[in-house]
Amino acid sequence: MARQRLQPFDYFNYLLLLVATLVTLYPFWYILVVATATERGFFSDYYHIIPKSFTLASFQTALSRPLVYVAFFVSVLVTTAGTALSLLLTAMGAYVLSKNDLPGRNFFFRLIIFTMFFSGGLIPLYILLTSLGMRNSLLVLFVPNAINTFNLILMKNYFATSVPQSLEDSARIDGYNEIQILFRIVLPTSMPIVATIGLFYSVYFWNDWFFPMLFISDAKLYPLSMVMRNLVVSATSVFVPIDVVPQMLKAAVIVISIVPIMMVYPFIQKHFVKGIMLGAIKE
Amino acid sequence: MANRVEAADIVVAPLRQRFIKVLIKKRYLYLMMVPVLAWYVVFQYAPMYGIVLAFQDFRFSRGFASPFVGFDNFIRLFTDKNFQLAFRNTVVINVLRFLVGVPVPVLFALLLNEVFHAGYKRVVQTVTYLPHFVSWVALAGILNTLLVRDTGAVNVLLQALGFEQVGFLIDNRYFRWVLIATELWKETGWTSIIYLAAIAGIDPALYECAQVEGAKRRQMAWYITLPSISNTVAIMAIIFLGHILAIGFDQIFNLYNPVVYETSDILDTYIVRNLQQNPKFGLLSAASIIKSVVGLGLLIAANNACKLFGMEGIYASRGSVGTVR
Repeated sequence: MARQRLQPFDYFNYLLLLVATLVTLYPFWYILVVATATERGFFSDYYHIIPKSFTLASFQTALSRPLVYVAFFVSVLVTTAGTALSLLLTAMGAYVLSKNDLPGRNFFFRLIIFTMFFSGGLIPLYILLTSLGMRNSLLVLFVPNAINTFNLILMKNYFATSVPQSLEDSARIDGYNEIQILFRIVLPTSMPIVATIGLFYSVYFWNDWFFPMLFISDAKLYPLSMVMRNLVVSATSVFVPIDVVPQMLKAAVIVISIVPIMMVYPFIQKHFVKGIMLGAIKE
Repeated sequence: MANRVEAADIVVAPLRQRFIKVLIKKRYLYLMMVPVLAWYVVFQYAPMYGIVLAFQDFRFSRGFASPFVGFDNFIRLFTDKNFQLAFRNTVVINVLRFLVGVPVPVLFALLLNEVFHAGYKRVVQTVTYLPHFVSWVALAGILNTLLVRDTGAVNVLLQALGFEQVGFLIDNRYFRWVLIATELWKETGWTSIIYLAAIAGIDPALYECAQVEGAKRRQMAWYITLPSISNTVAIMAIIFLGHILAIGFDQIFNLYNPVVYETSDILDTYIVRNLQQNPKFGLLSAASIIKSVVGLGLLIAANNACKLFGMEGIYASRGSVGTVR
């Protein structure tokens, strides 16, 4: 399709998308400018489009609080452990389910799909985890939500359609067992879906505030999302020192929580479309 | 010869032996499935037993042996004014969300598809996918400062343009629209990814043909692109409906406040707030079941509606949940 000439519609379209892009970016830019402003700079402007001052003082204030830097490490720990466990379980389940001729496979599949349509709800899970003694244990932040069925099915579809059967067969001839085939052959050749789903899981664990809110009451075990929530939503001002503008401190904590996602995102973004598209092909 | 012996073996061998044979031959596959199934049993199926709670006057000391009270919890819920409100809000907010949230990403994908500078397209996509990955807690923090009266950038701008300031987050007239708008802002780009993938899968020959026939771009979008992705749109709409009662919680729970409960308290926020403040497990379990049943009903209704319109629906092939052709 050779379309060189721009029609009036194109100018309109390009402009519209430009506006959409700027509107999407603005809140992030705004919070970054607020977080890096001096007190004077903060009070001299409302829009914070052009930074009028620059200082890292708000970050210093935030990170000098044990509550914040301990929380940061708790988040890193939970995200790492959670993503590893999630990917392991998801990949194993997806690989087995991608073997259509395996006796019992359909039963497993129905058992898993059913949970997408029906669940016991929050209250029984709450009682279960409480009676398992998982309150105030970091395990509660990643074990009960280790598998996302939707992700498992995406990965299963990817394995079933995009990993050449001949590769697996030749590995079998070489004497590999199924576990070795999954970890040495299938996973290394499925990087788009592993990267995509790994990102989904890690973003989920990094952002999750719901399980911490329900099950963690010991402030030493708070992940960053929880500290941020207490600061931002519940307006708990316990740890805002008197000489700090609360909005600027909040902005700094918000930036600290968003930056890690922004760092990983560009590297994995290129896999999205491929991973999702291939994972979504019908069987 | 060897084949015949094997076939005879299978007929003759008792079922149990065959079962064990398969189990041994495929042992590694079954071994890998064990932890996965164990997880599902413990964290998904075990809580399902907790449904009996909804019919009990639950006491922690007696556990699941608490006295049964029939449908008492359900009756008490439906006579509770706050629950009625939450039920109504759930319906109203989700209808709005559906009417706006399904077509806008389709439109966005169609517009993006008309961009022929690859670099420009990529930048727009990269930026608009981004908010999907940021939590509602962080966004609530940003929105609180942006939308507040007197110092928030949006209100300052409104005033500069000669409008009155608006208490977006504390005014029952506006709060629902704030929910809809911010949800669109967060998810439109991300949702469009599926449609763009579907558009990329359309046979280019169709467009070439149309071009030869002298079709305009508007006509190609309307007569080729849109019909080609209509099944994807339908599936996304069904999935949207199926999850509709689960989404929205993060957003509302972090953005709302007692002043706007009247227009924004939904079933999930009602359940979680009460769980924290006044945990009556039986009652809340009943609320959760009502939610599940409504959600399942919506899903089935939407699926049947799709079939009525001649589309494949969600059960078209096994495991096709969320599929793109």
